[in-house]
Formats: sequence, C-alpha cells, structure tokens
Amino acid sequence: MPTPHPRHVTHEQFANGCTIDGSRLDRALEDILERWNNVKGSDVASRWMQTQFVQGFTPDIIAPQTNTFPFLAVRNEAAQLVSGDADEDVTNYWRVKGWQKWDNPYWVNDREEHWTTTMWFERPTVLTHVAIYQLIDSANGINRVLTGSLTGQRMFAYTIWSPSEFDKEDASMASVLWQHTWRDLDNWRVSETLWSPGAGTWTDMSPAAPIDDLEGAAIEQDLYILIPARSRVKFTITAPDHPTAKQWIDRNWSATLTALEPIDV
Amino acid sequence: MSEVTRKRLSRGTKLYKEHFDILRDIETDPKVAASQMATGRGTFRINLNISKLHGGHTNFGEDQPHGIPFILPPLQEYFDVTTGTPNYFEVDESTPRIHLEEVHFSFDQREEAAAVAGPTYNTAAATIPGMPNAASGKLGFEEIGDRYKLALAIVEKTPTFFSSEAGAYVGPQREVWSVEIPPDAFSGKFFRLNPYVLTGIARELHPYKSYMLKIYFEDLYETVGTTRQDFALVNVQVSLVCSHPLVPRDAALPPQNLPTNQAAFGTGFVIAPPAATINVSNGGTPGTKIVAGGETESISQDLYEVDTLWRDKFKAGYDRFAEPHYENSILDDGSYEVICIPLFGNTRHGGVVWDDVAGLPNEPYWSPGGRNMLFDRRIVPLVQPLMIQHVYLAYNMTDLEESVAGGRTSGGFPNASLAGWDMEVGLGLGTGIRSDGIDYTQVASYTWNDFGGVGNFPNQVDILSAEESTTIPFSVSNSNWTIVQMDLVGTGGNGFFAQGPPIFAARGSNHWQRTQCGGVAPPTAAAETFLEARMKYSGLATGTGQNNRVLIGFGGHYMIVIAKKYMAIPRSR
Repeated sequence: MPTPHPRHVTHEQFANGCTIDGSRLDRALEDILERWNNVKGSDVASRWMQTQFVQGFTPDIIAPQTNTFPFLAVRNEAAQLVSGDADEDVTNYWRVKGWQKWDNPYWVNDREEHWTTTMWFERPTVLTHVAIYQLIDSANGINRVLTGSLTGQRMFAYTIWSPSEFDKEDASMASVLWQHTWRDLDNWRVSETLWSPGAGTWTDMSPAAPIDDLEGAAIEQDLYILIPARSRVKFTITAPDHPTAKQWIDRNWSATLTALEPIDV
Repeated sequence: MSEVTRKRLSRGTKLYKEHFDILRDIETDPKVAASQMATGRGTFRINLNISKLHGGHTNFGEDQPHGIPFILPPLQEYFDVTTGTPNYFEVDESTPRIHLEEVHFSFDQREEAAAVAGPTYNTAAATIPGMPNAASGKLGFEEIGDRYKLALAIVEKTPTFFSSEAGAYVGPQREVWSVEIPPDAFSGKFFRLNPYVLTGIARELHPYKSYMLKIYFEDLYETVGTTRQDFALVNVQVSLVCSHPLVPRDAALPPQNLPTNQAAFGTGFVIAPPAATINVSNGGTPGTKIVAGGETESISQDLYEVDTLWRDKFKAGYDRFAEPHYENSILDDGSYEVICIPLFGNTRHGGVVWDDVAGLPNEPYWSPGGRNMLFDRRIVPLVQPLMIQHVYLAYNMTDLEESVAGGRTSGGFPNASLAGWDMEVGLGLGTGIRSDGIDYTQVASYTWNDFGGVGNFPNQVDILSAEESTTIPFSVSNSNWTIVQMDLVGTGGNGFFAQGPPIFAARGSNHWQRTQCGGVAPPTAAAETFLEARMKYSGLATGTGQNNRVLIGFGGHYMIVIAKKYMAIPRSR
C-alpha cells in the first residue's frame, strides 16, 4: 500500500534521489493552477453564512382560551381526537421527548402544549444560536405568570430535536439536540430594570411601545450543533396550560433559530 | 490577485525563473476572488412563518390561495433605478442575479398521520363563526383523506412603481415555479414527507420584480350538512432557499455607521497571510542547480509553502463581534440576506377588521386602559454581522371571515381618510437584553395616517393580489397586499425612494465606536445585540363608518429586511 503523501494540491512529490523532469514539474504546476483557479468550498475555512428562522406572535387576551394555535396539546390521546381510534391510529402518544419533569407544579392534567416548527437542511449545517423572548406587559393585559417575581417559575421547556434517520415518524426514536427545561425563569429576565421611558437614561426607538413596564424572560444561548446533510430539525416550545384562566402562552413571543449554512449550493 | 496563468513546460526545456512565477504570484498575493471559487455563490433563505391557515379563512372564497409577497432588490451598491415618468430600472452584467434553488414546506401535524382541526371545526355553517372552538387543534385520522392536497406557486409581476399606469395591474404576470403536493405526502402512518422538500429548482429571480408565494389548500374546508369541516395548516414554515453571487465586502457604497476600527473600509480589508519565500522562482536563474527536496531551496520546499495555504484553508469575513479575520484572503466574502419578520401574525381571528366591536377587545392594547391601540413587536437576535440595505413592509389586507356587529358589508382597503389615527412601523437596533445598558438606534421607519383609498400609501412599491379572479384586470380595490419601502435613516443611499446608505449591525463592543447613523452618533454605539421590529395602530375608534374594512389582513404583515451578510467561521470546534 503506497504511503499517502502530505500534499493537498498535487500528487507530485519531489525528493532527493528522485527524478525531477519537466513533465512532473509541469503536472505539479498545472495541479496548483487548477486548484487556485477553482477554489472549492472545502478549501475555505469560513465557507459558512448565517440564516435565521424567525417566528413569533402576540396572542389575544381572551380567557379562557381554547384556540391556542400554533400551540397544540402535548399528548395524542383519545380526548385529542375528533375522529379515529386512539389505540389503532395514534403512533406517538407523547410528541416530544424529555421535556417533562414529574414534580413541576405547573404541569397539571397533562394540558401542556407544544409549538413545533420543522426545518429541513439539505446540506451540512451548524446550529449556532437559539433565542426565545417572551415579553409581558402587565399593564396591558399581556401578563400571564410573569407578573411580579419570577422566582420558582419553571414552567416552560424548549427543545431542538431531530427525528431518527431510520424511523423518522417515531418521536421516541428522535435525538434531542438541545433542551432547556426546569430552569427558573427568574434567572432569564429580559433585564433587571424596567424598560420603560423615564425609568432610566436611555433612547427608545419609534414607534414607542405603549407600555408601562416591560419585562419577561429572554432565553438566549450559543449553540454548536452539527446537523448532517438532509436532516429534519424540529424546534419546540412547550408551555403549560391553564384550565380556567388565561393561557400561559399569553405573552409577546419572538423565537429565532440561527444556523450557519455552507456558501456553495 | 485573482486567476493565474503560466507558461507550460515541455520536454527539453531549460527551467527558467518565469516557469515558476505561478508559485510566486500565489504566495505573495494570495487573494481569492469569487470568479476563482468553484461556485462563487452564497445562499440565503426567505423563511416565512405562518401561525395558522385554514379553509374558509377569507371572505372571498374557500378555494382561494393564501399569498405572501416579497421583493429581492439589489444591494444598494448595485441598485440602479431612475425616477421619472415612468420610473425605470437598469440591469446589466454587473447586477447580481438571484436563483431560487430549493423550496421547503412544513407544518405541524402533531407527529401523526392526521389532519388538525381548524378554528371553526364543527361549527354551524350558516353563520360566521365565533372563534375559538373547543375542537380546534384536535386530530382527525379519518378525515385526512385529501385534506392536505396542497399546491405551492411562486408568481411574478412588475411592481406598480415601474408602471406608467400606476396601480392598474395587481395580478401576476408569470408563474416562476409551482408544484402540486399529493395528499399522500402527509398521510403515511410510518413515513411522511413533512417537510416537503424540492431541490434543484434553479429559477432566476428578477432583481426588480415582485414575487408572491401562493399556498393552495382548497380541500381543507368542507361543509357537511349544516356544519363546517374546517381543518388547518398549523405553524406553516416555508423556506425558499436562494443563491446570490459572492460580492465584495468593501462596497462602493459604505455603510453610514462604520466601526472605527475598520477605517480602511473602501480600500480593502485584505490582510494577506505572511508570504513565504519561494526559492525556485526567486533564485532559480538559468544554470542554477535545482534541488528536488530535503534542502531549504528545493522544489519540494516550494510546493510545501504553497500547499500550506490550502492546508490552513482560506479565511474571510467577520467573527461574531465584527472583527475582520486577520488572515483575510478572500476578496468577495459578502452575499445577500433576507429576514422576514411576522407582525400581527396570529390575532384571534387571523386578522382585524375595522368596527369589530366584538373582536377588538380581545386584542392586546385595545381595551386595557382604553388605549384603542394595536401593537406588536418582534425581537431578532444579531448573531453574525449584517449590513442592512433595504427594509420593506408587506402590508396585508387579505379579507377575513369574521363575526362583527351588524355583519360584514365589504372588504378591501379602508376607503376614507380619517383624522386622528396613525399606523407606525419601525426597525431598530437594540442593546441591553439581560443587562442594564438599554438603548436603541433607529434603522428605518414608516408612518401612515390617511388611507384615502387605493394607491395612497406613501413609498408604495407595488400592489398585489393573491385572489384569483376571472375578471381582467383584477380589481385594484380588492387587491390584498401592498409593499412599501421603509426608508433607512440618513440621506444619500439608493432605493426606490430616497433613503440613507446601508447600516451596519453587529454585536461588537462599544470599544469600537460607530460613526454617524442618521446624522447622529448611534445610541447603541457598536454593541447592539438585537433587531427589533415594532408596529402600532393608534387613535383607532370603532363605529366610524368604515364598513368593517380590513385593518390587518388574514395572516398579518411581514417586515422584510434585506441585508448583506458575510462569511463566518463557526464559533468553536
């Protein structure tokens, strides 16, 4: 078996004791010229550019809410069917893995809901950042849960996951790539100070927000998750439900997943 | 230096210095241009998120598609539009061309081979339903059948901005691409094509045309007996993957708020790697003994020096904090970016109509405190640096089916000038999340307070209709989208209407202060960490005789941010 040579740009090797005729030199120079005039993506360390998946909404403030789109119930059970047989038809009783903690007091009656966005990556990709902003405005009715102290409120879960390559529709076989759950939202405040005009010496943008005091949680994390080519990636936000009052989703939502994709198509 | 050539060697030729010039040329000036790259194109996505689509959502027919318009004008440095009568554009060989490469379409099926019940499922068909409905979001295994028989299309038209008959034509002029998606794609118990992915599309998009993505879902809705069988597409995510040529970072039109550490902007960022000594090319004069390997001045050593360039790989672009790479060796490391930010995308009825006495109090900022206001905001983190080039608002007037006091009488544009109300929309750079150093820098804004009928939007680039009609030309009064330019702050930039030059945005540190932005020192200095989009209606009042015309169309509005982005190196390994 020939010893692999260390060169990237040409197979020609020149060493003491070897011939160094014009043909070999010509081939070496031609290899270099071809490589220089056709730089491949793999020759470029910074061959990545970002793309961002942006989503978000502000729900209505009616209570109680029964229409929580795009949040949908976490379990596929008989009570969640308008037709079909729960035993025969349902394949994923639980839709997402790993988000639930048995002792979370806010998760009652299994009425939690997932907001799932599915993305496709045709080429190898790096997920580099996730950001979920859930703002409240207690003076204007966008206030479920996060009024007052956030301490101890651990009711939300955030999951990035990818279905199994071999069993794409079996959620129990999926790979959880990143998960943020059972974290105290008090540690993820938007700010320790109120973002309201007059509360500090800062410059606002226009249009001015009709707020009295804006607060909430901002979950931002850098990621370094390698995604193989031709992969499905799902981004799920899980919120608790409330049977009688306004939903826990009652906040201003902004969620962005950032990825670095290779430059060449 | 870009592409190189060389003198070929032939048998019996004496070796001269110039035979090895290629090594010297590469080593002493190792700069790669886009023309040398195998593809020379960057990719970007038009990512559109739609919270819900369901049959019968509109007031103009359950079999009508849902449309979302967008435009992809050239970066400011390539933008070439002349205003006059009429306005016209020029496209030449230097204008970068955008290609549509892939389309990805997905929605939430709750991980099952079932259809998801819509907001009006099982409600009486005879009346316009009040939402919500307890069956919403539940699974229908037996109904899936052809419910998810879908189709996608991208259509093109010339913006009314360029038309001498302003506002006359709102329908599409060309179908760029389309596909019918069979319902089987979403009904397999053990394998579903969700997301539905199409690659290798390779359609060229015109730099000055406007486009509309149309989603057809005519079988989602059905009336059975006296009730609605209303199913939904929940949380639709459409990704239009496009490519754009790599372009120089040091643009002919530099940004107005350049970081001061990049004062050489315009003369080139390129800092070449240390040039190695090329022995043969420098010292290989005729008669000089050529050594194959093992010594400092040898062929092997020369090739090693060149090979090192590839071994270390070429580098370019910015890091996350807007610092150019210290071994920047790629001349064209910029490309195109589109960020589509949904605003008012998931109101209770999917949209808002004027005089909706029953519905409006359910919207935030309306009732509490008697504000009579509608407000939405999105925060988008700044991860990699961007140079913001253009900002547009795709303003949605798609009529919706909604229960209102006194019933609906008409749709379309609000049709009269009303005093005392304003629609404002803005884009800002922000800093201060999870800190106490809060500040904003305004990037672009737009205000409007006079509907006054069709075509009365300031800065209107185009009027479009997703509605498909047999009446030619389509009714302008029933057109349901308009695209307006939100001017960048400052003066001296290029756009359909007067605006400022591009604005740089990155999460640097304020150690590198920015220069002027809109004529003043930017409050965020150079430490912005997010973009914020805000939209507000204020001074509204019900019962003003607007015949329930559409204020926010079904699906809400989109802010379209066009930017230049740059090559990046992943943060860690």
